[in-house]
Amino acid sequence: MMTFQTSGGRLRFAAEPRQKSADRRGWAAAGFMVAGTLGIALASYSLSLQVSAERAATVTLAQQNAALQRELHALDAELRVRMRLPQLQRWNDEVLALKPITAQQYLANPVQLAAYGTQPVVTAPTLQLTLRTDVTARADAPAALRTIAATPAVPPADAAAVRQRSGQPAPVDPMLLVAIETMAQREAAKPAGAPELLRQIDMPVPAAGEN
Amino acid sequence: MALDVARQRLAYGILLFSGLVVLLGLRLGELALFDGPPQRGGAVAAAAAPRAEIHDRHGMVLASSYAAFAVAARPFDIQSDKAGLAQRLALILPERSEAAILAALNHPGKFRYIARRIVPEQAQKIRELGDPGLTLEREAERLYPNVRLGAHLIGYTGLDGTGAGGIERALDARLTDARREGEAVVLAMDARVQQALESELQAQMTLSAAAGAAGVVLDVRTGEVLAMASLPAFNSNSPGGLTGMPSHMNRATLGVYELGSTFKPLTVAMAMDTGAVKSLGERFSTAPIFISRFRISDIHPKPYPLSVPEVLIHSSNVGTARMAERMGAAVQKDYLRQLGFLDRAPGELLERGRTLYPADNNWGQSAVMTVGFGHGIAVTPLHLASAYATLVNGGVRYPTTYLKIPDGKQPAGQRVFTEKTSRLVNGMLRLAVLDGTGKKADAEGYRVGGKTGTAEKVLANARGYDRRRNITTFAGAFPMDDPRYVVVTMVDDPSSGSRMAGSVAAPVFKNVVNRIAPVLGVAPEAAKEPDTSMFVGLYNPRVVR
Repeated sequence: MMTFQTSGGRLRFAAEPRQKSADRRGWAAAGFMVAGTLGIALASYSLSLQVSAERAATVTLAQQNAALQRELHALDAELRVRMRLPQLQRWNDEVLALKPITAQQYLANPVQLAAYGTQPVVTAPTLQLTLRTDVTARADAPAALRTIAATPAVPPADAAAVRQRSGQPAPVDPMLLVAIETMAQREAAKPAGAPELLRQIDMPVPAAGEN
Repeated sequence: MALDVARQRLAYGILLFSGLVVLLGLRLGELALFDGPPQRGGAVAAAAAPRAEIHDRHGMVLASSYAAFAVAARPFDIQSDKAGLAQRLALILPERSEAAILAALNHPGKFRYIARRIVPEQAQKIRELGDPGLTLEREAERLYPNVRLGAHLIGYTGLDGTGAGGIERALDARLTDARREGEAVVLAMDARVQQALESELQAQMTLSAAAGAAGVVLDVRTGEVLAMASLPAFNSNSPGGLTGMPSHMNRATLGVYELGSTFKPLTVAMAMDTGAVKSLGERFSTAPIFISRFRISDIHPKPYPLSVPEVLIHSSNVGTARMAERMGAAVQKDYLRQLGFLDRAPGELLERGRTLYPADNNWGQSAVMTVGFGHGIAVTPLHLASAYATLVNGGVRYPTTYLKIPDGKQPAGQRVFTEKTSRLVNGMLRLAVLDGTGKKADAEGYRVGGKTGTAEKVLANARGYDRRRNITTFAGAFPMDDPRYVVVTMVDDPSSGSRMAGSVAAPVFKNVVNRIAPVLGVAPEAAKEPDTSMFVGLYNPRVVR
């Protein structure tokens, strides 16, 4: 219980001693309430922060998705333009030369397919390798190759004899092997002047410096 | 006591409001420091296409939209040196000349476009120039990946983004319907068939130095247009020019031509259907007919009367005219109406030609006879394809459509010819290829049937015909034992080499069939031929086919 008292002409609060503990309890309760309120406010705020952060992350993700979607769209469009049918046709006309199937190439049933196996076996013609003797070896060719190019392995007069011996295994000229090995090493050491694709599809590869 | 309570309440109130102020301050700090400007999700919305895509029947994209920019100048706001700015812009926009850019920068008005349809990379470079007098506007642009392929069918959009031709124009409302934005319009077109048709027509056009060409591939069971070509074509991505230019004229649906002898099978079918011709063995004299001021004769007259199949095999004008004469104008007109020849070209496109035919009061005997073999009536190649589809599929006319019909759904048709007539004419069309003028159209194994048509072009002053300029056409179907597809090829005014359809349009037909038949699932089978036993003894088969 508080009362007003005068002291030296000034008005002041005066609490009765027995009420001091009650006042302290009152202030403590108020303190607890304030602390509780602040605690709840802080907890709510941290929650709000979390929500805000999640929302921001979602928006960022959506933006990334949209950007990726646009990029995909653009790439897809580019791909479609590059593989457009008129372009494929041009490649076919100029390089691939594929043609539609003909009636003779079409097999209607497995019997026709099996009939392919009964075709008479054609004996492969005997291959005969000969060396051209009228070619002058290039100046930069290995000495061994120049020797071979300049010196006919078989004299032209004996061509008939060569034809007769063609059925038998011919002795391998060690000089020829050396020349081939040398050329192979030079080829391997040469810097790749042409795209790998051209090598793979076995097209004539222009040597470095040539047009 | 009351004061204590009041003090407590006051303290709570102060604390509460202080807390609120602190919270608001924190929130403001958070917004200022971490969240940045308010987000509206604009990026997500921008990813959506403003116009629906167009696909072919197998899902190949024929037209799609992408975000592009337009760069414009506000000449009064330009701060930097205009000549220098034009030079820098020309480096970024190689498709525009420096002079044209400078002209736009010096334009006396307030606003002038410098370039449209520029890509984002170019837009970014222009933005980096930093001149306030340059404006970049976002605009949706249409991309046609196949460039000229099917240009007349797919169409194009104008600068304002609305459809200006073809399907883009005909289905503009559907394509811009916001509720169906993500749903593509699926055409009946098969892009592979379209490519084959266009490339073969182009090859022949170049070879014979022709003025133009057109072609149609039609599914006879559904009326779907699998391909439709008109050459010369234009680039749908930058159509440019005026719509009246020759390249913009759709010769397959808008141009009307007298398609000549390709009409004869239709006349034969009409005559057989109505009983005007009662037997295949009936004979028709080849002696010239003189009627009013006309003389109707055969180009290579046979010295003997021709049977019905022979009339088609030898493409007899006289024989067909006699058959038409027996039918009369009313019957002929009724059939032509049922086949759609008296209406505009069928289908959804708005570029539909109005056919030319004799006026009612002028549809006399001579008109009946000349119309009977395809003269005096001008139709589009699409008309002809639709009529041939009706002729060969058993006699039922299905509505022609450019849109894909769902699998398994059969459109309602209208019967025009009897099945028997259709079967007999199919056999005769096969013979016209094997033993007649269309032998160069015979794609081996695909049992092709059809008829050539060579017609002289009308003079520019519309007073008679030009004997040196022809329209060559081949209309046919395959496989004739069970027809599934009709192909019409037309080459306009070939000027190099032969000018007859058998040498110009028929080889195109053959090449097209050779290319599209495997794609369409028709297998070549040399042993499978349509039944022509009913014609035995009625014609002389070629000794060596």
